Amino acid sequence: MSFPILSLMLAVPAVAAIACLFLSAPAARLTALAATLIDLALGVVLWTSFDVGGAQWQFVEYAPLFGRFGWALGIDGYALLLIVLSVFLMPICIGASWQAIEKRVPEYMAAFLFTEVLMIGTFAAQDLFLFYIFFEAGLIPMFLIIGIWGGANRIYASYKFFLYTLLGSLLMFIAMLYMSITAGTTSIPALLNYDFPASVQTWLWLAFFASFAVKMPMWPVHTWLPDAHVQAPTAGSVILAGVLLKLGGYGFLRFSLPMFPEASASLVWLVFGLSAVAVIYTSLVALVQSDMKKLIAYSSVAHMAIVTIGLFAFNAQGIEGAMMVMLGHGLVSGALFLCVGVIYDRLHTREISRYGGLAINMPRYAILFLLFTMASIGLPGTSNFVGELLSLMGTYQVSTTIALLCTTGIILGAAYMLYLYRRVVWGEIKSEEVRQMSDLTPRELWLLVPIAAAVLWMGVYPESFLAPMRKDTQILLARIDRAKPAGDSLPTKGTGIVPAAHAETSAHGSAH
Amino acid sequence: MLIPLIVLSVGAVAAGFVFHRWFIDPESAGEFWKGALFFNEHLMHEMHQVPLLVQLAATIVMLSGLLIAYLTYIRSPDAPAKFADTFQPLYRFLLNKWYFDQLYHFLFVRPAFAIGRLLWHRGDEGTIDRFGPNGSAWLVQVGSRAAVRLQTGYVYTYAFVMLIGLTAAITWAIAG
Amino acid sequence: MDYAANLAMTLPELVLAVGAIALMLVAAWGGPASTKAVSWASVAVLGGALIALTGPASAGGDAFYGLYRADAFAAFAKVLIYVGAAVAILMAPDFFRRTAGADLRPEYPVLILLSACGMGMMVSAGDLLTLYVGLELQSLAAYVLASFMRQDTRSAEAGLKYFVLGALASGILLYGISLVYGFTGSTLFDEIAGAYAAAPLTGSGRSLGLLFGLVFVFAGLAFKISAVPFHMWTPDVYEGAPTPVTAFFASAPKVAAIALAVRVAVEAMGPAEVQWRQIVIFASLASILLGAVAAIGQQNVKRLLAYSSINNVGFALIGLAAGTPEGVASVMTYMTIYLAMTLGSFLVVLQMRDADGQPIETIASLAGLSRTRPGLAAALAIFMFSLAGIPPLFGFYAKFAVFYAAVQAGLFPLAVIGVVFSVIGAYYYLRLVKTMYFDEPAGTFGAGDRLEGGLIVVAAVFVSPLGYLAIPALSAWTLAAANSLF
Repeated sequence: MSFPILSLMLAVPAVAAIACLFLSAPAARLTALAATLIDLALGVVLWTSFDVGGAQWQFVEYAPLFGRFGWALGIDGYALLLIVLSVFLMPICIGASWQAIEKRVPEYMAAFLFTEVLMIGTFAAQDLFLFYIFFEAGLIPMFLIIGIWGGANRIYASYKFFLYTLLGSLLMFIAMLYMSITAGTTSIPALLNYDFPASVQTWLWLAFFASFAVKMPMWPVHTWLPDAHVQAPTAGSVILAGVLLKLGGYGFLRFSLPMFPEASASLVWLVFGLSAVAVIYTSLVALVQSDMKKLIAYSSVAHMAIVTIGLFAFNAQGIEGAMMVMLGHGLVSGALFLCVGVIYDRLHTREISRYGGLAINMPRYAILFLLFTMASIGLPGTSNFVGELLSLMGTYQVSTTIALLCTTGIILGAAYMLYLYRRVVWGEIKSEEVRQMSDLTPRELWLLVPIAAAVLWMGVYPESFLAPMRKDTQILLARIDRAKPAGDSLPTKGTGIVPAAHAETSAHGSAH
Repeated sequence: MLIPLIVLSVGAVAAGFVFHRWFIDPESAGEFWKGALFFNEHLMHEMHQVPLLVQLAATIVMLSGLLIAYLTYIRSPDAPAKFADTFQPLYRFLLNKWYFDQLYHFLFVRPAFAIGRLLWHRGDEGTIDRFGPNGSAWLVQVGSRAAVRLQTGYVYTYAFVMLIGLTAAITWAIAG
Repeated sequence: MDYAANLAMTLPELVLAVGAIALMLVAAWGGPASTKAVSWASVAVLGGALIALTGPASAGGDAFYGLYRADAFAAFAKVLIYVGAAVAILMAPDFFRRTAGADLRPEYPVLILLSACGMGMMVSAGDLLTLYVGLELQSLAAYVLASFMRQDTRSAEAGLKYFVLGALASGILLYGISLVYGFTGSTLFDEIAGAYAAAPLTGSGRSLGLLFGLVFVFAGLAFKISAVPFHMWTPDVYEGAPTPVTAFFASAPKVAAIALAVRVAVEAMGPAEVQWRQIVIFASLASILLGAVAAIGQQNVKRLLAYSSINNVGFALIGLAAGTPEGVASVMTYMTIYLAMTLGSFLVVLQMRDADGQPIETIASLAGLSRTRPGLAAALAIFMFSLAGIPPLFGFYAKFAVFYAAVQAGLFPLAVIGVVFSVIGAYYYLRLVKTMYFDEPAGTFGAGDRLEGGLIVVAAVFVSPLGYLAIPALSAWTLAAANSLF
């Protein structure tokens, strides 16, 4: 067995978290920052030493520690990218909380570090129940983060978040028990190639769907998200939108599609229907929000619907696009929440109507906020464009109607984001309080600029991110191809498009 | 501001002469685009066959615009105001960009906001939350109150519940 | 088989009985002054009984012509019982010393020893009469313990209620036993099982007498494990009894009663599995639901934990409903983890004292505990999340085990309804966490006892994710214990 880098990535924040509990506030901040930066460095090592196009599962670790299930870790391209996203966002979260969190700092830092452990663990787990433990355990630190450091209505939001997601996950748990008993293994790679009977698949698929649809979140089980986002502290929202929502999409990709291909195919209508409703519904709701965080939260639901349609398009464009949307949205929505946090720290309100004219006294902020707004809309050159285009292209091949409906979401997305930007940043300065607001501090620049760079990188050269997952997508497609639903787009070769050399002789000749 | 404008005007006049060989020339442009754009050479050839008036249409419109601009801004600067006074309705219509903004506002913006508000309050809050999480919570609380009320503290109630349970189990056994 | 071999198999009970009698004499002559010595001696006796388990008592087979079974299952249950009893003795002195109007007397540890002896008989019973004798020995000691604070009206009321309702339950059980004896002609589990296997239990010609006997016996046992609808005594008794006694009730006797129910179900009435499974499933789901729903309305921590114990028994019964060796093993796994969680929670409750050292029991008094006593709050949070079955805490594995067994046995509706109900349960466990972590501090508790603090740490570590490392050993033991029944 090679060097257990994944276990190390889990151990570093875990040890730091426990250490934080016994430290003073400044020491806890430094410890947390150091631990997350070490994990970021390990993540970079992980990425650079990942053999693109090599074995499907790399950095595999296995220790049969727990009787019925084992400590099995290992990653493929999808997991790699999501782990990198997690470790990239974590130091930013710690930095965002540097001054905003004043009470109970050691516990706060410990909660975040535990969250990091559990996120990495979820993506790296290769054992069904190990995955479940990591997946579910994430509720505890997030419950505490929302409940202790949240806003005025934090208790309602924390309960709602916890119980909503718990209910979904438990049904998945029963399905997992059934799978492990029937297949006789808890290893995810083994289960990926186990064929359950089609009738059973539907039940199992629905059980997993209950969990992932809530996590995603999909309409109509999305209502926990706006509450959780609004009440959570800034960094909590960042990690919630940036990584925790991706657990749902990752789950569909890792479990629902490859393990239950027939059920996935026969229930595509459900996913597509709910997603199409979600895109339009939540975009319209986002349009009328007066609370910035709530607006971004609703926009997240709409973006996640683009992920689900892409995943269930059963083709490479759709699946890779969905992954790109997940990564892009992780960065962009995280950055948008940070942008909200920046001005919230100054004025202590999230009401859009209290702001205005920030471009005048906060030009640097206005530029970065503009970039992330544009990225959220999906402007070419930014991360989300690549993902949304691919995802919608993939969907178009299966259902033209759904692709059409979901594309309207992009237009509505432009509407609510630009409307938000106009109200907050443009116009005249609203009040003397707003005039007092200072531009970004170096610390805040350090938080936002790396994300901006990553957003542009993903938009300009997405190949860096597409390459690690290309082989996994092929494996996945080979697995699910047998159940692929027939598309209604019926693409035909355009008669007008003829190679130049050929046109020279035929079209040219006949015209004269 | 003048220098950029001069540079731009040079480009505006001369760009076509310089680039037409690559961009639109039927013989060589296909080579330049290499299929990145759909380039119909046949159509490009046909372009040369259109009547002279069509070919000059752009120039004529430009010159008439130039003439009007000269007349109204340099020769008699009060003409636009007079024109606007004379043709009030037309002027307003054009000033408000054919009232397209108002039309859009009425057709799209207002309904979108109304629907959004409806979905938010009636949909999310009034239906999903009301019957979903909040409804379940309410149901559980009602059940909780009932359960607490049942716990009277009297031994005879407890004994009664036990015997009811026993009777029910026996009935079940007989019936089953 | 000679007498010596038989006695060797019952050695743990002998140690407990002789120890209890001897310490009773010490108590009678020594008076209240001997309390401390008797307490430690009692713990030592329990330790001795634990050592005695290693011999023929854990693998000897049947003693006294099948009246008594010395098998791995009984031994496993006894380990849990002795641990629960020892902790109940250890947590008492501090509580009674600080509480006004209550004195710890040397009878307390002696009664616990007697109760433990009775529980040992229960889990080793191979005959309905051994079962009954053991049960009564345990119960009689428990009635006295419940009203141990004689001056306290709540404690006296608890003891009286427990006694009256316990007598009713014993009557029901005894009536069931007599029915079973009447229709099978034997009180030995093996022969009863043979009679159940031979008699028709379904169809029009079925033996109603046997079915009635089965229902009555299960009803009597359901009272002991406080399963719905025989749970009504639990909240009142748990609230009224002195806290160490409540901790004891929620731990050792619960394990013993569950183990007894498992043994009766599997050994005596195994052939009637289809019939008792329905009762068990109903009791299980009803307990989970009622335990969860009723707990939400509580303001008193001890009452809340009473409902929590009802809720947990429901989950343990899911494993019994499976009726397989894995199911039985899962029940024992569940009870092991439950024991740690419950004792830990009650140890934390013991720390809840006002400035004068008087016990406080309201949930509201826990407000802001995470600021005033972070360690204590973290421990209770661990216990609560664990009781709710949230990974990565060890309580998750307890639920994992029982649901695994249920799914393996094909009981899908039971499993699905069970997990859905567990969400309701999660709500009130979260409420305690919320009170401790989200609310503003309401006051602080006095410093706690060193020994109790140490026990809390041990329980918390066992329930923490580190507990997962114990799974292979725990699985092996529970499976060996379960296989000795089949």
